[in-house]
Amino acid sequence: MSPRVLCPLAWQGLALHKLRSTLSAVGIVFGVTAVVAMMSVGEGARREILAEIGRLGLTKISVRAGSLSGEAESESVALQSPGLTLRDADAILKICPTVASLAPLRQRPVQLVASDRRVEALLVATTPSFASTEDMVIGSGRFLSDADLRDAKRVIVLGYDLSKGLFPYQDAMGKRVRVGEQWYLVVGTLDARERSKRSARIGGRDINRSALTPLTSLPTSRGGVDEIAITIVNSDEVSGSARLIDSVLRRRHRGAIDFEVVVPRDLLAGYERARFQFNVVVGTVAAISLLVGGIGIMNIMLANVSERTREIGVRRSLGASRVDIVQQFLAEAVLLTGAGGTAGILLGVLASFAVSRFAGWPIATSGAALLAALVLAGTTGVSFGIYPAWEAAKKNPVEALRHE
Amino acid sequence: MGASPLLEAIDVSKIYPRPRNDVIALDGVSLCVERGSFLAIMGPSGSGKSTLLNLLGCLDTPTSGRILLDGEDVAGLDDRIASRLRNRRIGFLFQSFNLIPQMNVVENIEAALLYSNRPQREWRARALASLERLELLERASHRPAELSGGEAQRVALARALVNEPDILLADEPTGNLDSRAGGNVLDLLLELRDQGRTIVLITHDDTVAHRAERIMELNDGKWVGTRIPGSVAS
Repeated sequence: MSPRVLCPLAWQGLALHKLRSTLSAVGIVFGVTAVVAMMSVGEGARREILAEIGRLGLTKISVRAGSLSGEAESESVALQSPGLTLRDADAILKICPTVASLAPLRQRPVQLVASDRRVEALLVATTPSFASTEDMVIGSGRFLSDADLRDAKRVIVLGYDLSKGLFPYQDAMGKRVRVGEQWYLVVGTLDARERSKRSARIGGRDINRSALTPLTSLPTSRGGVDEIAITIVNSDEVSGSARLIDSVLRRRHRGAIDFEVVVPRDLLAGYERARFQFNVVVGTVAAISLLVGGIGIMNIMLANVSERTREIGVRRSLGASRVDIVQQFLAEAVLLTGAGGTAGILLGVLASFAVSRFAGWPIATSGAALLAALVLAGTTGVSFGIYPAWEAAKKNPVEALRHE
Repeated sequence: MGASPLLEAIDVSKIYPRPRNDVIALDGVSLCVERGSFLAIMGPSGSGKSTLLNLLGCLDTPTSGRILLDGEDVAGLDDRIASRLRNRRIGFLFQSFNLIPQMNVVENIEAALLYSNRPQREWRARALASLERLELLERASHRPAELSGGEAQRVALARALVNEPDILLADEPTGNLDSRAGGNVLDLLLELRDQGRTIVLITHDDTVAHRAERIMELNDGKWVGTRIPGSVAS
C-alpha cells in the first residue's frame, strides 16, 4: 500500500483513542526534546571551542609560568629554578629551529583612565613580535616598535573595546591614558576581534580588552615573564617543537615544573576526546529515553491490536494479506513516533533557545541533527511497532471475525 | 445440461487439534455450487456450516480434501494469493455486519477496494455507485453506529459487491434483522442471483432457506442431505 493510502488509514486507527495515542507519544516527545536540546547545546559549545582553538591558532604554542602551590613553590626554590624568564625565551629561539616568531610577555589586570572614563583592561607588556604571534590587525596608528622596546617608551596600543570605551566620540590616537600612576601615549588601536565567553577556559585572552605596551615598560626584578607566545613554521611540527621546548625548559629549570607548555592543537585533540565522551553520554540518555518511549508505543499498539481484532478479521475477509495488516499497524506506530518526534523537535528547539537566552550558553541547531532526531523517532516506531503489527497479522481470520 | 460448477468442495474435512480430543468440525463433506445458483446451507449450531463457508471463502484451510474455484484448487494457497482471491472473486456477508466502526459508510466500502489493484482515483466513485445501487447514497457519510440493522447489512452488501465478486458467501445475513429488514436483504440477494451472481447462504431459518434453489443440510460436521425446496431430501 502506498503512503497516501496508509497515512489516512493509520490516522483513523489512532484517532479511535486520541488521548491514549497522545499520551503514548509523550515518551517519544520528551526523549527527542532532550536529544535535540542536548545536541544543540553540545554542538554550540563544540563550535565555540573549536573557533576559539582556531583563533588561538593551530601553529601556536604558549609557554606559561605556572601558578605554583606551596609545595611546588618550595620545590621550585629548592631546585633553584628562576621561573619563566626572558632567558628561556632566548634559549627557545636559539635551540628550536621551527620557531617562526616568539614574544615573551607580562600581563596583569589594570584599570585604564582617560579624562573621566575608566575601563578594566588586561595590560600586556610584550615585544613587537607579539603582533605576528597573535595575528594582530592594526585599526589605526602602529604597533609597538623595536625603538619603543629599546627605550622603554611609555606607549600603548589599545584593543578595540578599550579604545571605544575610553574614547567613544574621538580618535584615540595621540591621546594619553593612565595606568596606575603612569601615563601612556596611545600610538595605535586594534581592529575588533571575534571573541567567545569561554575563551579563558582554554587559555585565550580577550585581545579586544587588552592594552599592549613594550615589555621594558613593565620591568621585573629577575627578568621573569608570565608567558612566551610562540608561532611554529608548520602545523605538522607543532607537537615535536612543543616536546623540544618542554625538554629545554625542564633542563633550564633543573626539573622544576614551574611552567606549562600549552598546545592548542593538543587542546583540540583533548576536546575531541571530551566531545566523544559527551556524545556517548548524550547517546545513552537518548537511547534510554527512546527505549522507554518505544516500550510505551509497543504497549499501546498491542492494546490497539487486541481491541481491533475483529477489524483485522474483517480486513482479512476483504482481501488484506498479512503484509497489508503489518503495514497498517506499523504505519500507526511510525505515525505516532513521527508525530512525537516532530513535537519533540519543536520543543527541543524551543528549549535550546530558552537555554541560550536564560543561561547564555551558545547553541547550534543543525538541520542534519533535527533530521537525525526524526529518523531516530521513526526507527523507534518501526522497531517497537513491528512486534504488535506482526501479532496482528498472525491472527487467524476466522477467530478474529468471531472476536467480541 | 446444468450450469458449470463455480465452486466445489471435495471430501473436505476440518479437524481442530486439541490436547485431549481433536474437534472434528467437518467430516468428508462435498458440494458443488453452479455458477449463478443460490445454495442454502442449514444445520443446527455446531454442525460445521460456518466452518464450511470459511473454507469455501479461503479464510481457512481444510485438514484434508480439496476446494476448487473454477476448477482450480484453492485450498492451501499462500497467504498473498488467497488474499487476492478473496478480494477479487469472493464477497462476504456476516450476521453482525462487521462494519469498521471508526470509518463512515463510504470508507467502509472503500476498505474492500484498498486491497484491490484498482487505481485509487476510482475508489470513491465505485464505492458511491455501489451505495447507490442499494439506495444508501444519503447515508454515505454516516458512521455504522448511526445506521439501522437493515441499513448496516445493506452497506455490508454494498461492500461485498464493490469488487464485483463471482460469488457471495453469506453467514446468516438476516439473523440480526427484524423480519422486514431481513426480507429486504433476502430480496436483494435474490435480485443478485437473478443478475447471475452465485450465492451460498447459511441460515437457521427454514423460510429463508426455502428462497434458495437448493438446501444442503449438515449435522455434526457431516453431510445429511441436499434438497430442493418443496421436495423431499435426496
